[in-house]
Amino acid sequence: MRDGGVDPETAAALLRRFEPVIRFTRGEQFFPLDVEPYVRACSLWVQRRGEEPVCVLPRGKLTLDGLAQQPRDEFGAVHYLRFTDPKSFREVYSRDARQELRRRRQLTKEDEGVKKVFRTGRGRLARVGYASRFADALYEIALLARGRVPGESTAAASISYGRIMDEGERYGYHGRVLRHNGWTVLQYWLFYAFNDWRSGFFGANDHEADWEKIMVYLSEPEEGEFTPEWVAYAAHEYTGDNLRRRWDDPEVEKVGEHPVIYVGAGSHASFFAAGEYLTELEIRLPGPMSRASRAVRGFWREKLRQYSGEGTRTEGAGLFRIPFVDYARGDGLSLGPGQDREWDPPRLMQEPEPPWVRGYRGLWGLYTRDPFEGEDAPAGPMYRRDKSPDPAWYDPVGWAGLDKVPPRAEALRIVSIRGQEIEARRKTLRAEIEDKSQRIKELGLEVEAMRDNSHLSVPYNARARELEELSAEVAGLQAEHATGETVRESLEGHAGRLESGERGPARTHISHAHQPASDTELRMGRVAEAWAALSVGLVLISLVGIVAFEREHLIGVLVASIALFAFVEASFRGRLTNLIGSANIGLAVVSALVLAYEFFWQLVILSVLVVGLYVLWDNLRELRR
Amino acid sequence: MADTVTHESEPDGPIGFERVERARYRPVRLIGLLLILEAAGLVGIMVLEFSQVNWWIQVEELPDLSRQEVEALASVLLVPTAGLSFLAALSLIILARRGWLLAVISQGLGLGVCLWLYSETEPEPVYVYPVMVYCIVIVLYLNSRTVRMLFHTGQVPREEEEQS
Repeated sequence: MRDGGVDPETAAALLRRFEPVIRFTRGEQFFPLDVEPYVRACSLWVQRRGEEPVCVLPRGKLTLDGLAQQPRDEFGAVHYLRFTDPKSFREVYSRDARQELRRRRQLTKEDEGVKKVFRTGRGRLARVGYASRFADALYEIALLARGRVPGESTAAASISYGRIMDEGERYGYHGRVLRHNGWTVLQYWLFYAFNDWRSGFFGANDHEADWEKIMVYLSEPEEGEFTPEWVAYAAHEYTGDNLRRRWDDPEVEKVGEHPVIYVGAGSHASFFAAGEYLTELEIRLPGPMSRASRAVRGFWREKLRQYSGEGTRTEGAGLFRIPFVDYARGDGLSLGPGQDREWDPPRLMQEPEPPWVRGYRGLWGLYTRDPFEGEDAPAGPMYRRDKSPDPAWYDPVGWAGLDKVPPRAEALRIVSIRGQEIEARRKTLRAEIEDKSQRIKELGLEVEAMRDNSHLSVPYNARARELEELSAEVAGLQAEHATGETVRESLEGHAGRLESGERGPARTHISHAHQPASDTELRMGRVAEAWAALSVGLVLISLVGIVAFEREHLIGVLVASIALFAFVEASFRGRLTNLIGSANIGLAVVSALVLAYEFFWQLVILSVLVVGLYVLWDNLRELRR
Repeated sequence: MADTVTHESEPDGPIGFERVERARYRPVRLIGLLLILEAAGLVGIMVLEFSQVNWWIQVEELPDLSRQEVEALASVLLVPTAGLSFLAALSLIILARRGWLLAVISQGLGLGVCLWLYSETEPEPVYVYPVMVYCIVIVLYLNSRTVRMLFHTGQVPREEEEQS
């Protein structure tokens, strides 16, 4: 099967057949829509280096076709749309605007019991420790200095989005079907007018416009119907094997042939199961600190064979994690076939791509100049923010780590070809081994004949070296020949399983599945939540108090207060045992330093003595054998 | 013959199972023994320190205590450590999982007392250093992967099991 597009009729039919059912969380304000009315409601701007932003086309003048016809601009210039108008921010506080928002909320409350007000779950900070809470506080403070979406934007965007929906309540996606790397890929691109994760759901960021994607991978047999094999849902910036699930994986919920997706409130990240997901923003420590942290952890675990919790060996080394919660509860509006609202027919993005897809490389919403880019709007489906092509568009198979998995129909053929290749290679190897073995024998005899003939020392050495190299080469060839045999046997076994329709376990490719918080984690009391919210502030205030009023006993009081905070924290998180263990290790390290300070030379002498005794014992043991 | 081979090669057989169980609890018994030794050692230090002072004479000259007397009085601080270590050893011998926590607390207490004596007394009592060394060794052993996994999950790391 060649790579490329699919005719529009087949594409539309396939997209319709497997279109997703999307379940939102109560309180979600923005739903997938067609980009056309959104673009009509936007103005187009350009930001050049060192200059104030300039409005290229005002609101009402911009169309989808016009978007693709922007002139080229200098390096570093960023084109972007503005969905919310700064001039309208004052209107957000006007009586009319408040009434409109209230009316909209009342409407949604009456709306078949869905889209009701969002209630937060257990606070995100209660799920992590002090270090992450400090990092979170710094992140919040940094938001004041970084570029960010203004506070009034959510209300303004909600009003603008409401007006679009007033023109006609429609829910749509943009679809693309392509053949790539043996797979037929159905891409569902979902466009949202606004991401209010931070302002609406205590998340990491807000930004105008949001592009999310869902992919269904079909195998296309020579004869017969397309068969769904895999699905992959986009969540934040994750890529690779962990994104995808096999169609028959019990985690993939389906309504008929429609995969069900649970969408994070505000963030619009997609998940396989309903729940509250802890999403951690990772901030790397500077290189030397990170390396030192890894080295200490490695020494502690590997050399001293000490216990340092479950998980991978260097997990967490050199990282600060800021926790955020994705509320993907699925208790709000449900979109899709047979759900609260149905999809509009898909807007196709088949080759040749619509001009707005290929021609517009700018951002789809406000450009805030945030150095972390979290508050900047995303680019279109085909590009990344830096205007480079997006792998999800040009390599949707590799994006989900499926490039190493052939479709079932193709797998048998590949196995057979590979088996033949291995057999052919083994045949060549056999001939080569025979030849070279003969040569080894000849060289062996020559070397044997020349030994102890002083006048032949030069050719003797050359032959001996050649013999050694050739022997090593033949050993390598023999190993390859033997390995080929076992690989061919395993391929034959695999081919047999494929022929009988047997499939291996569905989840072996997943190294880290994103799971929702368990019931036990969610059952944390209100006091713990309150403590999580207050603790970082209290630590800082106590620190100032101690420095101001207890300078005479600074170290003692500091240690006591840190111990108190640690004790309270550990009690709430049920980690008292860990705390006592850690305190003990701390005391042991301090004691070891004291001993090293007091008895440095004695320790050096003792170490030498121990090494000497060990060598003596080892040698004597050898003598006794 | 076949039965013998089964027992020799499979740890799941009745004899093999007992052997694995014995190996599994070897660290527990070792910690118990070390803690009893520690408790005995601490009590020994106290007895030794107190026996070297003539208390009837010193009671009349209380403000002017000699180094020997200070050391003897300071050794009283190790009583809770000795008591807890003994209790922890008893718990471990009857294989209660709480024994680990008790052992950790006793070692923390011992190290805390030693560090306090080191920082507050001049010159520090001589027994402070050996007690520190002993506590550090036990802390490291209590926190080793083998022991932690045995107490917290009831499992021995595979590599340890293979060795045993």
